[in-house]
Amino acid sequence: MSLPENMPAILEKALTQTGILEASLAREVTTDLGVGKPIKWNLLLAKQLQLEKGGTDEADD
Amino acid sequence: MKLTIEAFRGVNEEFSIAFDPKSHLSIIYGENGSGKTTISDALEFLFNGTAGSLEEKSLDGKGKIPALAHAQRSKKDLRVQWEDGGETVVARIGTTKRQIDGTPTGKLHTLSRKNITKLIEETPTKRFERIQEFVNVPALDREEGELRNLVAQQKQLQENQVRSAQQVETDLEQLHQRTTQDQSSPPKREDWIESILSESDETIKEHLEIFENLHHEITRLRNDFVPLKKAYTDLDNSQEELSATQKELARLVAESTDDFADALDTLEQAKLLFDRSSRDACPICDTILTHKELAEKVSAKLMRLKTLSAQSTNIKEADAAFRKAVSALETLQQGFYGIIQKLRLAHQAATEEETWNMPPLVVSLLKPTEARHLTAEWYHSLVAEASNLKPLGEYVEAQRTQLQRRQEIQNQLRAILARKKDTRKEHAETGRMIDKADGIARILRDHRIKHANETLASISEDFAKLYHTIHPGEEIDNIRLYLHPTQKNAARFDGTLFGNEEMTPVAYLSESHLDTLGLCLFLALQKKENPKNTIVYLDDAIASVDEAHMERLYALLLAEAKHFRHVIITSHYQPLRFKFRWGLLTQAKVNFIELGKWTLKHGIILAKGPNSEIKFLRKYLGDGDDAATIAAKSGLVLERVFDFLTGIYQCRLPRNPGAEQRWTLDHYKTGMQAEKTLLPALRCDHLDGDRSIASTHALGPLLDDVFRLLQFRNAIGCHYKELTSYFNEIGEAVKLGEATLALVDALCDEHDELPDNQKDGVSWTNRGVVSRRLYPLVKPS
Repeated sequence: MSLPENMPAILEKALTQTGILEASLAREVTTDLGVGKPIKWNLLLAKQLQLEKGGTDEADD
Repeated sequence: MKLTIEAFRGVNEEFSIAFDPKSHLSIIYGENGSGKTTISDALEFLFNGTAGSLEEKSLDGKGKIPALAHAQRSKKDLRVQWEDGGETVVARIGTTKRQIDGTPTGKLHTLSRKNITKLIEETPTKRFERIQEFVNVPALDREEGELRNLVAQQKQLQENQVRSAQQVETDLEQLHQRTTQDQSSPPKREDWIESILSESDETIKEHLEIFENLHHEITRLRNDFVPLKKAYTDLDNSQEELSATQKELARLVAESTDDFADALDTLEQAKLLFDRSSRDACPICDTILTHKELAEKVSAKLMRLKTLSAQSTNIKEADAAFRKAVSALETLQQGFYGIIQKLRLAHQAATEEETWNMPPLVVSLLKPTEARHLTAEWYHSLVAEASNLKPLGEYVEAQRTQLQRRQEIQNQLRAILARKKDTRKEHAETGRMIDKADGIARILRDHRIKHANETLASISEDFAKLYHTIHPGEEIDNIRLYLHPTQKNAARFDGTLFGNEEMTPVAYLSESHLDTLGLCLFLALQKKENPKNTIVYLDDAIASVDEAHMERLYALLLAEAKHFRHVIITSHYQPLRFKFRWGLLTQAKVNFIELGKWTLKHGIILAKGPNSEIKFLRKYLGDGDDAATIAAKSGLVLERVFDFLTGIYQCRLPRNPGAEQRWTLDHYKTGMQAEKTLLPALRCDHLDGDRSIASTHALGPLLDDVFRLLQFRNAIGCHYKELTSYFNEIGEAVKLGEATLALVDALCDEHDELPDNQKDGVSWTNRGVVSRRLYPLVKPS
C-alpha cells in the first residue's frame, strides 16, 4: 500500500468536505494513491469541472 | 556475514572482513586512513548503489561510481561481495552504475559524522532530505508535485489566454478603426458594435441575395445581348440565302420547262438507237443521226438535269440553315425572356423595399409578355433604351458592394466577439482548474505533513529516552522534530532547554551533545522502519563523545543493536580500542575488529593481535636487516605493554594525559618515569613446573632501557629521517627491539600473554598454568 492505514478514508473526506471534488472522483484519487498509480490530474479535474458545469447549466435552464 | 572487496578505492588485492551474526554489534577500530570509510563505501555501493562518502564530494564533474575503482586497477576489476546466510551478492561497476548479481538481504543505512551534523545542524530542507525516507508518503509527495506542475502549466496557459485576449482587443480596435476611418465623426467602439450587430445578419443576407440576383440577371442580360443581336442577323442572312436559292431554282426550272419533253424524247431515241444499234438513223423519224451526235445530246440533257438537282440540294441546305437560325433565335429569345422575367421579379422585390431608391426598368424590358415578342424590332427598341438601364446597373452594383462589406464586417466582428467570449470562458475555466489543483495539493500537503509529524511524534519518546540514557539528568525536554507547516519539505528541530520552550539545540548544546542527539534521532528513526531487516553502519559517527559519556553510549548501542539485523560502528577513538583490547567493554558479545595501517601495497589489513606483533618482532630481530620494521613493531608492542601497565594493571603506573584521549609512547614514558616508588617495586616472578620461583625480574631497569632507546623508535620508524645519518640505524633498532623483547619476556608468559588474573590477592598471574606473577598489587608507601 502506498498510503498509510486510515489515510485513504481521511483524505477522501477532506477532498469531498471542502467541495473540491465530487465523491466519485475523490474515491478515484484515494484508490489510485493507495495502489501507487499516477493520477492524470488534468483529466480528473476536467471531469470535475464538467460535473460542476452540468450542475450550473441545469440551474441556468 | 562477510564482506570481500577488491580493486575498490584503497583496496588493491582482495580484502575480507567478517561480521559475526551471533553478535548484533560489530566495532571496527582503525586509525585515520586505515580504511573504515572504504568498508562503509563498499557496503553502500553494494546495498544502495551509491558512491558512499564520495556522493557529497565534488569530483570536478567526473563520475563518482567509476571513481570507486582502485587508482592502479581497471574498473572492471572492482568487486564487492557480500555473503549472508548462504546467499552471495556481488556488485561490480558497469559503464557508470552498479551492476549487481543477486539481491542483498535487508537494507543498509549509513550514518557518518558528517551526516549527523547534517541531521542536526543543516537547514530544515536538508534535514528533511535526511529523514524523508522514514516520514514521507511518496505517493502524496509525488502527486503533490504533479499538482504543483499542473498549476504551473495552467498558469502558463492563463498567461497565453491573457495574451490571446489582448490580441482579440487589438483586432477589435483595428476593425473599428478600419471601418470607421472614412467617417467624419466616427462612433465610439461600443456604439459602433451595437450598430453593426443591430442589423440582423439574416436581413443583410436577404438584401444581399436580392442585389446578387439583380446583379446576376443584369450580367446575364449583358452577356446574352450580343448573341441575340447575332441571332437576328443570322436569321436575316439565312432567310435571304434561302430566298435567293429558291429564285435560282425557279429560274432554272423555268428555263428547262420546254426542254424536259425534248429531253424525254432524246432519251427515248437513245434507247431505240441502242436497241437497234445497227443503224444510224432515228428510229422515230428515220433522220440520220449519228451515234456520236446522240451521245452529245444525251450528255447535254444530263448536265442540265444535274444542275437542277444541285440547285435542289442548295435549297435544302438553305432551308436547313434558315430553320437552324430560327431555332437558335427562339432559344435565345426564350433564354433572354427568362432573364427578363427574373430581372423583373428581382427588381420588383427591390422596389418593394422603401429605403431603396431603385431606378426603374426600361419599357422594352417590361413590355414583352412572351419570348416570341422579342423580335428584331424589339431588340432595336432595347438598344435604344440601353443607356436608360445604366443607373440601375450602377445602383445595383453599389448596393451589392455595400451589403457585401457590411456582411464581411459583421462576420469579422462576430468572429472577434466569439473569440473574446471563448477566451474569457477558457480563462475562467483555467482559473477554476488552478483553484482545484491548488486546493487538492494543499490537502495532500497537509496530510503528508500531518502524517510526518505523527510519525516524528511517535518516535520522539524513544528518541528522548535514548538521549537521556547517554545524558541523564540534563535539562532537555520535549526535543522534537517536526515539519514546517508552510515551507515545502522542511524539518524543524527544537526542544525545551533549561526551561525555555522551542529552543534550537544547535545554539545551546555542545558538539558532542549534538552528535549524540543526532545519533539518537537516527536510531529512533531506524527502529521505526523494519529494523530487523536493517544493517546500521555508524561511520566514525561518535568521534566527539568524551570518555565520560562513551561507556554509556556504547552500553546504549549494545542494547539497541539487538533491535537491528546488525550494527557496525567504526571509530578511530583510541580509548575505545583500549577498553575493547583489554576487555573492559567485551562483557557482551561484541565483534571487535581492529584495522592495521593502510599501505598502497597491501591496502586495508586487519591488525593482528599484540601476540602476533611480538612474534613479528622476534622474526624481524632474527633477520636483523629491517631497521624500520623492527622499530615500528617495537613501538606497537611497547604501546600494548604501556597500556597494560598504566591503564589495566591493578597497581597502575601513571601516564601523562593524551590529547583528545590519545597517547603517544612519550605520554606513557614521561608519566611512568615520574613515578618514583612503584616503578622500582614492579617485578615479575617466573615459576617453574612445580610452581616454585625460578627467577625474579625487576621491571624498572628493563623499562629504563626501553625509555633510553625509545627516541630511536621515532627516528627510525617514521619521522625525522634526516637524523638517521647521525647514528647506526640498524644497530639502534636492534637494541630497541631487544630491550622491548627483554621487557616482554620478563612480563609475559610462554604464549606472550600478559598477566590478568588476580585470584591470589597479592599478584596478577597469567591465565592457564601459572608461570608468571606480577607484583605489587598495592603501591609501596
